[in-house]
Amino acid sequence: MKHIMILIVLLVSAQKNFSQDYGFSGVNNNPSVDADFANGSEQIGLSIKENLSNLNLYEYAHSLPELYDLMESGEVTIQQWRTFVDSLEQTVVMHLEDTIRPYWAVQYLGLIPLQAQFFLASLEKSNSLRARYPDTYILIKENTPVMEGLGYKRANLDSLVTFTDVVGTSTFWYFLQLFGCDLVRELQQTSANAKNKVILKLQNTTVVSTYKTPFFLQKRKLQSIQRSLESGDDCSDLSNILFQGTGILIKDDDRNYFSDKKKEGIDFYKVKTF
Amino acid sequence: MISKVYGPVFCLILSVLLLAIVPQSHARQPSVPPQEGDTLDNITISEDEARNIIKGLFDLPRLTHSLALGRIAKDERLTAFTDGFMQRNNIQVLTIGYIDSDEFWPRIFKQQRLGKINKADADNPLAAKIIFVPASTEGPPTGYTTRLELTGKTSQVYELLSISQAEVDSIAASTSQQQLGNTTFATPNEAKETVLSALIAALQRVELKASPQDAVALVTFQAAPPDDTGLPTYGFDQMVYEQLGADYPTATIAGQTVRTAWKSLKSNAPDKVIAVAGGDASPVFEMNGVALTATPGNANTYKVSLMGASDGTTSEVLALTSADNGLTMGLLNTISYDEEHTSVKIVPVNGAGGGITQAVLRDALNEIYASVIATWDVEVLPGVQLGMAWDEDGDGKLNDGETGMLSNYTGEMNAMIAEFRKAHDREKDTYYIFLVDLPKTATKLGYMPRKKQWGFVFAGNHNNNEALTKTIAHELGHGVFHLEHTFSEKGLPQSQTTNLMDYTPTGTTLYKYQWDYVHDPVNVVTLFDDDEEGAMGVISNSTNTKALLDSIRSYNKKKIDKLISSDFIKDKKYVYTGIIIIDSVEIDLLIEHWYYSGRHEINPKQNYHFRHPTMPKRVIFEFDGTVSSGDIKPLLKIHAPATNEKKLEEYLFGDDTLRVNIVTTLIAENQKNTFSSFSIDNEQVTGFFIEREPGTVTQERTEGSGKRVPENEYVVEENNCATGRANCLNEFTLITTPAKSGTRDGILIHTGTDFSDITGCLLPVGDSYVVEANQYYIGGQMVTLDIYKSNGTSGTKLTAINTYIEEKKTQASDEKKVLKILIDINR
Repeated sequence: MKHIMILIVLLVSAQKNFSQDYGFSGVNNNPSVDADFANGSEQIGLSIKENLSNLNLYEYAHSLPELYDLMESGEVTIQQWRTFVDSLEQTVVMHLEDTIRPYWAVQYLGLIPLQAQFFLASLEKSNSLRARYPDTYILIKENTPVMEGLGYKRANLDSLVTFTDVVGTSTFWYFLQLFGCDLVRELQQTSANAKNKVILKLQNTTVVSTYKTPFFLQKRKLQSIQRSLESGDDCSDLSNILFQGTGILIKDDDRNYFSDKKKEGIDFYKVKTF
Repeated sequence: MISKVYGPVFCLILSVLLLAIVPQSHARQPSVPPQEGDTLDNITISEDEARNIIKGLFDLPRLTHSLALGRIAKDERLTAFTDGFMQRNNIQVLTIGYIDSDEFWPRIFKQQRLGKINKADADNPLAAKIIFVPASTEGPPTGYTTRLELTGKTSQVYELLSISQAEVDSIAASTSQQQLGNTTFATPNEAKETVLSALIAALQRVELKASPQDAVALVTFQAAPPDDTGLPTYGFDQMVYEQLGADYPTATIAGQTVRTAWKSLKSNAPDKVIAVAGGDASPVFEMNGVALTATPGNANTYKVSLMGASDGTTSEVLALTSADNGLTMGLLNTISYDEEHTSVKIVPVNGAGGGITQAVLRDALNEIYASVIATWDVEVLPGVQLGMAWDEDGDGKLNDGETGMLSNYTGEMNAMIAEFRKAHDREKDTYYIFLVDLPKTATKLGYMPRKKQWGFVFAGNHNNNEALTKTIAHELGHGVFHLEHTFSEKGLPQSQTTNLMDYTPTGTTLYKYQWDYVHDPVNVVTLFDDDEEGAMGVISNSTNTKALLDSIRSYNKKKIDKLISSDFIKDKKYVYTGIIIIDSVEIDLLIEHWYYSGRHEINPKQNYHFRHPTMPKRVIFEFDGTVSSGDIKPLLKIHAPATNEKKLEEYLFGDDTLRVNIVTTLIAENQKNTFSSFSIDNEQVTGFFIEREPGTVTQERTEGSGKRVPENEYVVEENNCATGRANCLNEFTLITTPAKSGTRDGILIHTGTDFSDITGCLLPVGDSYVVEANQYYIGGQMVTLDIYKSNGTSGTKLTAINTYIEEKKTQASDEKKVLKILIDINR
């Protein structure tokens, strides 16, 4: 069985060079699309300033007003940004090529290139910000690698999306954020029960907002998924289930949130499940 | 580092990948396998080819069948034989097995295994191939026919063996034809015994042809007749009927596959058997590696002295060509039993059967039952006059019931028993046989329901005392040892065998399977043979209930894995109620018992019980087993009151378990969390659990629902770290089952700070937990909820649980017990 597992990993790895086009349309960070793009900027900005790694690239795709502002004001430099995204890419490359270590499968690092492309699509789509900060737009764009060929292959989605009761092992939300209704459609092709599983998740998830991922950022992300589901032909019903069923536990003011988690033996990867 | 540890694995994978990726037409062309460090050429494959590769990779049935064939070819019996072949002939036999097919896994394994012949270290190996030919290559495997091939790698092999290639080919082909034929086997494992016997037989035939001077003559065994030593000789059973074939192990001797006989031995007592050697052979005998004394007799016979071992021990007596690594000439199986002693009283009613005497009957019963190491005390009660009050219809004959009645006494029988008991005390451990003149049915000889104390034998229908004795022995077989008729139980021809449990007038033999029944009568669990009639359609049967539970208990005490149920012709489920009394506590039970066609086995050790899905105050002990089709199905369910769960569990499974009981008590619950206290082993460790919020019955039983798990008792085990969680070594897993918790899975006891760290798991916290009023945004609204927080106590509490469990593990180890952790979650 060990041989088979290694073989499968090899085959999956061998497919990394197949070209990838996820077709992400990104999210327009204009308050006309979601009024909350005008809310929570201070808390989101503070998180970014504290550490660029507090947010992943999908979250930056929903924090473009704050990112532009901080770049314009010089509170975040392009070198810092470049270092941040390079380190992400490096992590992906390192673990992608080291097929013996299990991180690629367990920590879902293949998501990072997908998030990078979603970020770039959002950068492109946010016209008003692009027009307001043309130089910064170019700087961010040029300093954010596409990570072509490094991410998960779309055809493997059904095997990568996991639904389990063990916290920290379900990858559902990360893929739903990126693919929206397309994910539900593709999962249904391989399992007739997939939509029921999705509904259960949408009905029962609690998202936690913290000083690192503040309330309005989490709300922007949730509403972004909601819009994505609403626009899908087969998913409009899911949008309302998400709205009614997924809540946000607000812990923004709890500066001990992560140290308390750490004290109880929970590491960052397990906490950040949305 | 990688090349050192994984190098061989990578080479195998590389080979597999090459075989997989290169189209088959190319793969068959001669090529040099890639070596470590080589640069490989780019290979382009089409999408269809890629799909086929993936499809082939995941063809698990063919993969497992290919792997199984590898194991068969390495079977230790085969290896032992080929080692001997090597010593005797200086020829190494390479045994390989493969599926002769071009499908993905069969092709890979075939090439890899055939490659072994070329790579063999020996100069002159003889390749012995077990070849499986698929019945169909479309869809899932449907079965295989098999054949053998024996091929010398070089012509020198044949020269060394002094046998021609044509002769070896002929032996392989004829052995294949004779022993394997066109039989289709569903899986390699199903064919294992047959192909191993055939291959050993073929190799022996090669060896015999090659060395005619060493040709092995067959040694057979027979029962020893009584002799002047005065020592008794017990049972001997040689297979006669194919229907009983499975009870007699096969052995390949002198190129022939034979069914071997059984000899019963009394525990720790001497016995003997006669061995008959073919030709002029002078065999030696051994048992468990120890030489046996064999006294030569007439006509190449030997009287071999044996000694019984402890109860239930089986051994093999081997006849060998010589003491030192000699070839096997014959084999006899032995089994030792403790003596079974039974008392029986004969009641000649109103002078019936007057000619029978106590001593003659006792000696006759002892002789008949000697084969099963059973002895009898017989008392013939003199002058029992029961009048005719029992004769309800006034015909002077005992009503023996209608044809086919198997388990109940008629009114007249009950009246006769009652009449007898007016003047005689019933001895609890004694069986009674009423000798009655005539039954209503003219041809009936006797009647005694299985497992009953009272039997009836109709003296007027017997011509002599010998026949009467045989009938008494037959009826006691039913009543005391629960034996069934050989024709109904095993499908043997009626009135044509010499067996005691057939209707042949003189039959007194007992077969090996009957020996086992005699020494474990609870093994045969029968239904509805009690005379207690139930009401409302569900039969009450406390006798059977107790027998059933006692058999499970007995097997668990003896640590026997399989509880063999009787063969039943029709698939049927029986439901009945019964009461069992344990420590003066009466426990009402409902039994559901499934019988499937063919032989099937219940696993009595399967300690698996759970709350009734709709009646929470009831528990169900479920036992699964393997039915003749090979499927695992529920065979037995015992429903009991939840309050008696522990008592019943201890009764059934014994006290070799050290239990740790975690009991929870609900304190509070709201829209987002549930808070309970817990106590381990009556407050040895106490604390609290934070869980997710309540859900509907369906939600709590559905994976991914994020709700708390359903109220129930779960077995808890230490986390096996399969998910690789950072703190997994300190965590515990609840063993969820479909009956208890639907599709829920992966429920742990682990650390965390609040409900957001769990989706159904249990989060232990200590006394310093806090409750915070937290803002929660949902459905466009902001609400305030009480959230329970660990406040830094979760890790400490989990450590306390772990420390206690470690102490218990040590205790269990010291006391040689199995540790079982249970959590009873209450709402």
